[in-house]
Amino acid sequence: MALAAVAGLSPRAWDTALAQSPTPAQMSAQTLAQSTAPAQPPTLTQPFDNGVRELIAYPGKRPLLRITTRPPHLETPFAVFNEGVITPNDAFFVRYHLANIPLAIDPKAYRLKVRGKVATELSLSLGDLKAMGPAAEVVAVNQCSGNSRGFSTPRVFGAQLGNGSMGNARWAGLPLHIVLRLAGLAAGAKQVTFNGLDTPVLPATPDFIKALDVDVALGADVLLAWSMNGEDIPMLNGYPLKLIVPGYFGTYWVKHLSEITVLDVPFTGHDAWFMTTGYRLPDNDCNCVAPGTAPEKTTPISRLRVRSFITSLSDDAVVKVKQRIIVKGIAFDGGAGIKKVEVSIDGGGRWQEAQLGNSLGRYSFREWSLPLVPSRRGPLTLQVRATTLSGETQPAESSWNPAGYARNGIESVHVVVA
Amino acid sequence: MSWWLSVVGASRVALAIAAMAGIALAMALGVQSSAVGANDLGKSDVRKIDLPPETAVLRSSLLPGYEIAVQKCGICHSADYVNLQPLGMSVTQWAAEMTKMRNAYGAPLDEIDINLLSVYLATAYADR
Repeated sequence: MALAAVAGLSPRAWDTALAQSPTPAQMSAQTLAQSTAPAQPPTLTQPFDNGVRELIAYPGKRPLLRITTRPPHLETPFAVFNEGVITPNDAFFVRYHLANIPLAIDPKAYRLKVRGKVATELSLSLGDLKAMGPAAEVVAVNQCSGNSRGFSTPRVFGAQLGNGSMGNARWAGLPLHIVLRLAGLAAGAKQVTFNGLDTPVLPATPDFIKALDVDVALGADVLLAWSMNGEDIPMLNGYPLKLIVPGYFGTYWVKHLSEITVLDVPFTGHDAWFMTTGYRLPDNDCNCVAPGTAPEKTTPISRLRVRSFITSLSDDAVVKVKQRIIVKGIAFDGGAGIKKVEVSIDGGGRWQEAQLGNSLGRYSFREWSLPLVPSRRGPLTLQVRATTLSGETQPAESSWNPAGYARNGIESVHVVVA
Repeated sequence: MSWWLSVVGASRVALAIAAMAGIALAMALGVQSSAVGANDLGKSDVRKIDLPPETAVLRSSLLPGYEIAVQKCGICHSADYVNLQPLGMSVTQWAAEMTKMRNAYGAPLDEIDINLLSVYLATAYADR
């Protein structure tokens, strides 16, 4: 057996492993290729066809993978996830749907409107929100619904994302339920909709407005956040106020949140497109269909599925035979919490349980590590599988849906033992 | 030096008084109508960003769909929305996507546009 777990990994060893920067080998799967023409930006290549991405620095951001320019859509280079359990603000992915995005915001003039089926309509300044109660904090993963879409087989239209359209941050702000209770929900309130300052170019294009059922919106963990990792939220991530829905896909985390509307009917109409037609999964047990086919019925995407990644090794990395390495990575789920993470090096036959790092809460990335000593030269495939406290685990293969959402199959890394 | 310190000191006192007044004002007016929150005082910075230039261009072609793509797709999004899609999608697949652009997002495309665009996209983006 090539894998030899070392018992009693000390917290110090974990710290040391965390402090290591990604090696050139770790960058090699996403090949860092400086173009020969001087005016051309550097690129990273995702491991799927047509996967060359420019690395461009946007305001408040280090160079990130540019998916699209207008509206801006930026992906985090995967090596960032090996730097620590919290994703730095300047590395956090960016995703807009509509091209009219706010490029200047006056925090003093900013107002959050609360309207619809409420006893009292509200217009709140940032100062009002900050004075309404102690700030609550949650460390939570924001993952794009289409994260990893580029790996869909067969391929599907949409933003062709690798695995970096996710991030984990410490969010601070006012619990949404405080504002909703202050406004006073009318009897029969069913859904709450959330709109931000971004608007469509054409009136014929639906606005980007998301809806949550009232019981979800009133959840204790849902925040109106003004702080991300102890700083103002970066402009491109939703300054000055972002809806945080821990455990839910990023599509609900509305940026530049400016308007909350309480409804006593389900959200429908022209501007409900991103709920009624977009961001939906097949409405069946697996939320999947046979590749290339269309679902009969769909349902809005909601909670994150359990996922896990190896971050310390990437494809084509070279490790030395008979030398102990610490394999490490991250796992997360929709809020049940991670129970265990296992690694297999024999194609999924036997699974070795990894040691979990400190918990930053049930919505956070959970670090894991596993020492191993490769015993034979040659190719070595490592697979990682996480299981939640509620018993959810990752399928061997990712299922397929037409939009390429919610991918969560067991991930593999192919390295070379030399 | 002492002059500078005293100015700083005075402005700190003034800020503190203003902050207290702001809190009192906020309490008096209630959260619905207060124009200036206590935490906003002392911060007047309008946040502004400038985005990097748009450099992506569509693959050129002599097919008539190319000119339509240049004119219409760019109304709402940059060319990289097209360039990054999987290569080798069929005319039928592109036609479905163009129909989605019209029906879902309101793209000003008629049936002829959709047909010409689909032929152009399937041809120009057949492979590398």
